[in-house]
Order: sequence, then structure tokens, then C-alpha cells
Amino acid sequence: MSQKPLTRKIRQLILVLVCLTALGAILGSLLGHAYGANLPSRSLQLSDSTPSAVATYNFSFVLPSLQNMGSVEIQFCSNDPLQGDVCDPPTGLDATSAVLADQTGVSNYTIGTGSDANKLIIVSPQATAASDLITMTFNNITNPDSPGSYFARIQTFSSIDTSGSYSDFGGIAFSIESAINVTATVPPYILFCTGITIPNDNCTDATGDYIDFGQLSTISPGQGTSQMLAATNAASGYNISVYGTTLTSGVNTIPSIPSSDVSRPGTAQFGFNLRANTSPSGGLDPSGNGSGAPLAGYSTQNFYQFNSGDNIASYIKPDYDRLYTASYIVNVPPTQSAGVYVSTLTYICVATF
Amino acid sequence: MPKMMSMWRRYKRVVYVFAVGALIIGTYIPIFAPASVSALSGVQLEPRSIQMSDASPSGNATITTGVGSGTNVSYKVTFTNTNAFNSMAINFCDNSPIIGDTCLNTTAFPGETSPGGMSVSSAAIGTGADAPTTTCSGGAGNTVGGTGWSISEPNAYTVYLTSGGSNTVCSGGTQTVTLTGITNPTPVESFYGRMYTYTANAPASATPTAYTSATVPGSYLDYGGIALSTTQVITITAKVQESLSFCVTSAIYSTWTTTGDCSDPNVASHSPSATLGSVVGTNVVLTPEVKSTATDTFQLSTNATGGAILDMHSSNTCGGLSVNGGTDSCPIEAIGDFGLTGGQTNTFDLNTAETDDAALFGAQLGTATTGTAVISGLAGTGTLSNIAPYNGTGTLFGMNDTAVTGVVGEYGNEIADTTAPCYLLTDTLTFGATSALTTPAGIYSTNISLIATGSF
Repeated sequence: MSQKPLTRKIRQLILVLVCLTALGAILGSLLGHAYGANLPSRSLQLSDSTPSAVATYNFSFVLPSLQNMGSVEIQFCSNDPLQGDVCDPPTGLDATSAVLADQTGVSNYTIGTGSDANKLIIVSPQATAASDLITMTFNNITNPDSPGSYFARIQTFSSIDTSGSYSDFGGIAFSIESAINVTATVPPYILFCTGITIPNDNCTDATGDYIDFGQLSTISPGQGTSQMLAATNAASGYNISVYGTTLTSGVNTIPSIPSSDVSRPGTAQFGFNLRANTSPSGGLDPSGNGSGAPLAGYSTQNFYQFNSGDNIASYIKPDYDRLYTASYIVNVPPTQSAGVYVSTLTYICVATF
Repeated sequence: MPKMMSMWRRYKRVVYVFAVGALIIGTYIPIFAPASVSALSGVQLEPRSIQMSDASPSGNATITTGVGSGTNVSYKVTFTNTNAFNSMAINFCDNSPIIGDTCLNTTAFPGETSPGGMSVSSAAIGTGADAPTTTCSGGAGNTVGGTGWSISEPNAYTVYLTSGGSNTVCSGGTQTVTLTGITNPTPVESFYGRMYTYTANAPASATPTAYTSATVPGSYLDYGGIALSTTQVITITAKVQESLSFCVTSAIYSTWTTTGDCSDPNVASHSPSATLGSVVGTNVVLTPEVKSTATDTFQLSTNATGGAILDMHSSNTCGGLSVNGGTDSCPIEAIGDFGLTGGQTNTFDLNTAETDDAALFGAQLGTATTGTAVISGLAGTGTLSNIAPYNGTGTLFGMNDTAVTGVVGEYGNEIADTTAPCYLLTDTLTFGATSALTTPAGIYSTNISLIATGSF
């Protein structure tokens, strides 16, 4: 008599079990993924591929199907990327200080316990469904210490602690390579040359070293020009000075102009400046890409001077090429002794590095 | 229900005795009974053969389809018949090919499982390349399984091929008919086929004795037994691991004469470097307003299905050449900083840099070639696409130092890519620089990390 209720209970129990089994199968087919499809479109981009560099590792992969991903294990190996093979840790690689700096496609994942020098365990508080592109960026990973090919093995798990069978797997190869050391030495540099003319601001084109004032006159100055080109990469720029004597013929001289003065025909004068002048007409202002400029005594139009050892032009920084034109004048009085008057001038450019 | 249980208890002994008796009679009657085998002046089908498309046993839990599964197998039956016929039967036995012998199979002998798992129940006549053929002449209807013929399976081990009445197969021809959709036995063993031809349009209609089973094949014309065998499938596994080989060296490729790939000793012995300038005295220095170049060589091999990208990352945060790691400025600046029309991705002519007295630093990719592995002789494959502004030629150089995506970005600037796997893809990277008259004296440098990233 009591068999009927018992049979009914057994039937009910069987029905419940069947329903649970069916439900499990449906959920499994929707969310589960049995044992290891390849993770497609997987890559590992390093911020620096040089040996022993502390680099950022950017992992990217796509889950092959909608699934609950609770944790991820990333293992670095030097021998191969094949799941199940013994993993030889890359020498020098150190992920113990790794920081999960960024993640896309998922959220709230953190580096979990079990991580070590060549293994990263990334866990989530709860398994979340994901099937899109996932990226995980880790900072502070020290690269292997030798050039060569290395491998990463990625496994995803439905559990939140990498327990149980993995869901999907993917291997990645990446390369460590010595950096290209690019070097270029720039030596201390000064460009300086003189000539009667220096065409094209090019020292190789400089020509001439002799000025002939001709027959001097008491009513108009004798004139002549020479040029000098200067440039330097010296941090404190350059300074050009002039050395030499005034015009001399034996014991006779034509005195130089000790302080800046205009041309005075009929008066004994020898001097120059670095400007374009109008009285008398002649000379050129400085030109070129540089910024150097004549110094006092030689910088005023129509005013001339000459003292041996004077600084005549300078610039306080590195300077591009600058072409200076020295415009000379000579005046003599009626009493000037006859003779051939000669002067030799030396220009010296000193750079301060 | 209780009434039925009572009846069962009452008569079960009788039922058991009857069943045992029936089993004994069923087992031994075929042995002692006169053989119901009657060949009508027939001879052996000779030569004869059955060629299997897959000799694997069925029931493989791992391999469930295709070769190795033992399922959906084609049996190519070939024989030469002496007599013309209108139908034939083929049956398969576990124990013997002898005509008239007991034929063991799962239905005949309880407890016997061989050739368990075999089934011809879904067999069909092959088509296309498997269509029946004959050496008979005389037109349609002369081929077993050809026009007008049909197939039927009276049980899981027997196939009937019937002509439909007016498609008699000629005498003295070689016939080939392929039976598709057969499931092999599950054990690894030898098993047998028996073939019979009949004058009747169907074996079951043979006279005076009709075919009823392998042990009672009826009045057949020609006949023949054949041995077949299932064999253990050979599973071949080959692993192809992800690979990415990338190297950079100052040795030009023509000197990689030992291996021709990244393992070449010349690669390891010539660290990548680029010293820009010309020899002055005992030093190599940059001459103002004169461009200098230096070239390194790199090689990429990868089986990444999506190919690989090549990024260039500068250690100097200013992107150019610096005397202090680029923490403040780069007196020899990246070309991309030089106010190019069109932005950072334009190339710039170093000849112009000379004229303009500019201090610039840039790079230029060569035209990639495929190398050759010296030992194996294998030729390289693949195509590398140069990306602006590194794709200039002649004196056109580039250096994109845009924040984030330029050479100063976290992952550097992409300079080249390949969209498919490649092998021994070899290219050059030439660095170029000019210094200005005002470029401060010093030793300028940067560390360039070339980063190859495969998309697997």
C-alpha cells in the first residue's frame, strides 16, 4: 500500500534530476567552453624589447565564444609556447613587480596570488561573460636578459582562481633584441676665415690678402675693405680681435685712430669699422644667418678706430655664419713723409666653449 | 499487475526451459542440417577484392568522423564474373569466408560481439568517381549497380544488389561497384565477405532455392569469399608552435654566410649600432651642414597568421639625438619636429637640412628582400610594407615623434608591417643626421628599440 507514494516520490526525484541535468547542459552550452579552443588574434606588444629593460607588456586576445572568464594565467617560457609542455622560465625575466595598469573588454581583474617571476595569475571577483577583444597591460616587467625568441602561454579559466580545467589557450612568441645605439659626436667647432672677399659665405671661396690704398691724398681718404666669416657652436659664443701696427714706412707712421672718430681728410688717420658707411661711402654691414655684431669703436657708421688688441666683434651664444666687412680709411696731412706705408693686421677669433 | 507477476512466477521455469532448448536447436541445426547451398553450374568470381577507404575500427571515441573513425567507409568491390547475372548478395561474417559455413555476427550468436559494430544498413551505391564500372560491352544495364540497379540491406551485414529485371550483367566481365556509408567492425580483426550472383532479379527470389542467410545463400551462380581486416588507426600528431624570430645587426646581410638567418654568427658578433659622422683625425664626428648616415640590418620571420608589426621606440623622450638621454631637449631634433608641411608623417630631405643649416635626425627603411637559409636552401617569403615617414628614398628621411603614437610613445611608432606570415624577410634601417653650425659640442645618442609584435 505504501509503494505508490514511494514510487511517486522516486518519479519526482528522477524528474528533478533530469531537469537539472538538462539545465546544466543548456548553461554549459551557452557559457561553458570545453577544453581549449585557441584564443584568436592574440598578441603581445612590448614597450621596450631590449634585454633586461623594465617594460610594459600589452596582451591582447579575443575569446572565441561567449564564456564566463573568472581568471587568466599567463606564463612566460623560453622553450616553447605549447600548452602542457614543461616551461623553462626565461632567464632574467621578472614579473614579480608587475602592475596591471590597464584592462579593456573586462574590468575589476587584479593580479592574484600564485603569481611569480614568470607567471601572472589574473583573477576577478566573479566570473563575467566576455567574448570581445580583451587587453591587459602590465607595467614593470623586467625583460629576459638575452636577445632571442621567448614565449607566453595564456590560459583562461571559468573559475576565479585558475582552478579546474582551462577554457581556452593561446601561445604567443615575442622577441628580445638589443637596442640600436645611435651615436653622433659633434666636436667643438669654430668657423673663421679672412680674405679680401669671401663669396657665398663660404671660407673655401675666400680670396685675397692684400689691400692697396694707392696714392694717398690730403683731400680724400684712401679706402679699402677686407672680410671675415665667423661661426661657432661654443656655448658662450666668440670674440674677434685685431692685432697689428698702424701704417708704417721706416720710421715714419700714419697714426691710427685711438678712439672712434669720423674721417678727417688732411689729418693723419688710419682706422676701420665693420659697417656700411656713407662718409666716405664704402663697406658693408654684417650679413649672414648669424647674430654676431661689431663692438663699440667699430660699430658706428662713418666712425673708425684702430687699436691693436681691440675686440671688434662678438656674440655671446653659438652662432651661425656671420660675414663682417672691415672698411678701412687712411688720411694723411700735407706734411706726411713720403714713403710706402705698410701695415699687417691679424684677426683672431676666440670661442668660449 | 500483481496478477501478471503471479503468472510469471508460475510459468517462468517453462519459459526458461523452452528458451534454452530453442537456443540449442538454433545453434546446432545449421551444422547438422543438409546445406541449403546449391550453385547452378557457377564458378568462383575470380579475381575478386574489396578495397576499403578506411580500415580503422569504428567506435573510436576520439575520432568520430572521417578517416580513422571507421564510419562512412566505402567498400570498393571488384570481381570478374563468368556467368551473366541479374542480382547479387554480399554478406560479411566474423569467422569465415567459406560459402555455406556458419557466419558469426551479433544477430546470429548471442554473446558474440564480432564483428560487432559493423553495419551496412546505410550502404549506397557510389556515384561520381565511385560510380560502378564494367569491362562489359553492350551498353547500359550491363554494370552491377548501374542504370536500373538498386541496393537494399536485409540486415546489418548483408547487401542485395538487384537489377530491376532487364539490366543483366554480361558474362565474362570485370565489375566494380563501390558501396558507400558502411560502418566498420569495432574490433581490430580480420573479417570476411561472401559474394554470390543470381539469375533471379533478386537473391531472395532465386530458384529453386532463395537466399535467406549467409548459411543458406540459395541457388547462386558465381561466388567468392574475401578476407578484410580492420587495423588500428595511426594517429599522427605534429605541433607547430608560435614562432617569431627577429634580429637587428650592424652586419649587412651579404655577410650572413653561415646560416642566412638570425642564428648567423655575424649577427651576434655585430651588435646593432649606428655611428653617424665622418672620420676626422681619429674620431668620427658630425660635420656641420653635412649629412651623415649609418645602416643596420634586420630580419623577421614569423608564423603569426595576422603577420607582424614593427615599432621603433626611442629612449630619448624628445625623439632626436641628445647628450643627456633626452630629458630636456634634443639639439639634433627629430625630423618630425622640424615644422614639416603636412605634419609628422612627412619625410624630409636631408639635403635641404644641409642648406638650411638644420640639426636633424631621421630614419629611412630600405626595400625589403627575402633571404635564403644557407643550410636548407629554403628561400624566404613575405612582403614588408614600409610606413610613412620611413618610406622615403634617396635623401628623404623621417622621424615621427608625436606624443603617444610617435617614437616617443609608450610602444613607439609603427614603421613597417607584414599582414601575413613571413620567412627571412630582410630589410635595412638607415639613420641620418645633420648638425648645424650652432649645434653644441657633445656626444649625442639615442637607443632605438625595434619591437616586433606578431598577431597570432
